[in-house]
Amino acid sequence: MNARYDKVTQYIAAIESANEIIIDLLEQITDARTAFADAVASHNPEAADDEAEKLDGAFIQLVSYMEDNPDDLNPIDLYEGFMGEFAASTNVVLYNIESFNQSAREYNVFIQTFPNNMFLQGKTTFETYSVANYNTTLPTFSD
Amino acid sequence: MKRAFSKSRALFSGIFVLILTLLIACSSAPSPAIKATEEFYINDRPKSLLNSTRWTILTYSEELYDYSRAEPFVNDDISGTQIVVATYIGNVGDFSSTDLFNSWGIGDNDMGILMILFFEKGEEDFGFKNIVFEIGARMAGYLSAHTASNLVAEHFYDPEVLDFDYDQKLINLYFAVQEHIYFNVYNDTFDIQEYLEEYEENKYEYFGLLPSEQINDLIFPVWVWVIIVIVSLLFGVTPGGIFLFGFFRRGGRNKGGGGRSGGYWFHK
Repeated sequence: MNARYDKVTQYIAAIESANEIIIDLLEQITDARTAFADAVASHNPEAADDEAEKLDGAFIQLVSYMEDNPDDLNPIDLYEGFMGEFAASTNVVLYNIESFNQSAREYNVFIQTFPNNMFLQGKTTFETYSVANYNTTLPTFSD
Repeated sequence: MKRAFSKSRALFSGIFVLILTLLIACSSAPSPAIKATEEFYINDRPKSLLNSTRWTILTYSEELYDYSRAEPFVNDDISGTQIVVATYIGNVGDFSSTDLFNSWGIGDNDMGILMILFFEKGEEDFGFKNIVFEIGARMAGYLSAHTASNLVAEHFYDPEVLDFDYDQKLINLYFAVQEHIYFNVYNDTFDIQEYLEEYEENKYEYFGLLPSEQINDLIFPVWVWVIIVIVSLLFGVTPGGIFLFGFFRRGGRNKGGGGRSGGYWFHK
């Protein structure tokens, strides 16, 4: 039990002394995640797209930085934390894209199905949304 | 002749609209991959966890929820924190944990946390595979995936705990999450060491069946079930059904507060 507490103390100390670059990048990620959620809530796909791009950019910088400085980060599992944040933030974007696409598909089917199409002539279908980079592996610093 | 044709067309259209209306009315929301239990906070249908683990999670999750509904927290829209733990035999991609989270409505004010342990079933025991950690929309402001991921790495995958002892791993993580919430959301303390010691002392004790298990363990003769079914059919859709509902509903039933997740989850 004491060992566990020692680890926590080390972890807190390491966080407090973390490099400014990491803190800045984490703030960027948090801001982008919040802005993305706001953009989705206000049905603004352009803004959501911009924020998703920022989120990706910050993560790529962060991963690159961590790969350059593994000695500072790996012993206290910070790397694990960053990867968790990366996975979760990516899942938020993917979930919202999938939700939008599901709604778009249901809407398209609805307006094209008989008898709805008799009354809804002239309604245009929605295009589903895709982000090409989201299912690909992140570039690494060595590439 | 023309009038008769017009009448039959109107009749046909009327029947068609009626059938269409009935079909639309019959459609319902898709049911979640795992049905919520009466306890809500612990959902161990495969029976992979120790009895003490189940009761510990139920007890402390209920306590946290009650604590978090104090007036100052209600005013700040941070009330109603719910931590739910579920187990499942299968793989992480078998269903959407976000859909499950939103279907159960974990937490008031989107202040929910869902942990799902994935197992594979062996001949005699369970093999742990992965843990999914999902965080509610507002809770994400107090517990980031970065922090949660570190809590999982530090407490769940603690090398000091034996690999097969996933009950201990889960409880270590569960109390660490509780501590984080009490401290960071409600500015209070949580003596993790005391609770861990209490758990370790009672780890292999048996505290009785959970409410949902009691219902499952009700064993009646066949003729009693026949009567129950007949009475259900007769009164199930009338006010008389309330008595049946009341008969089966024993103890306090917990439920979600309508909380939502925007898909903020990771697995390890």
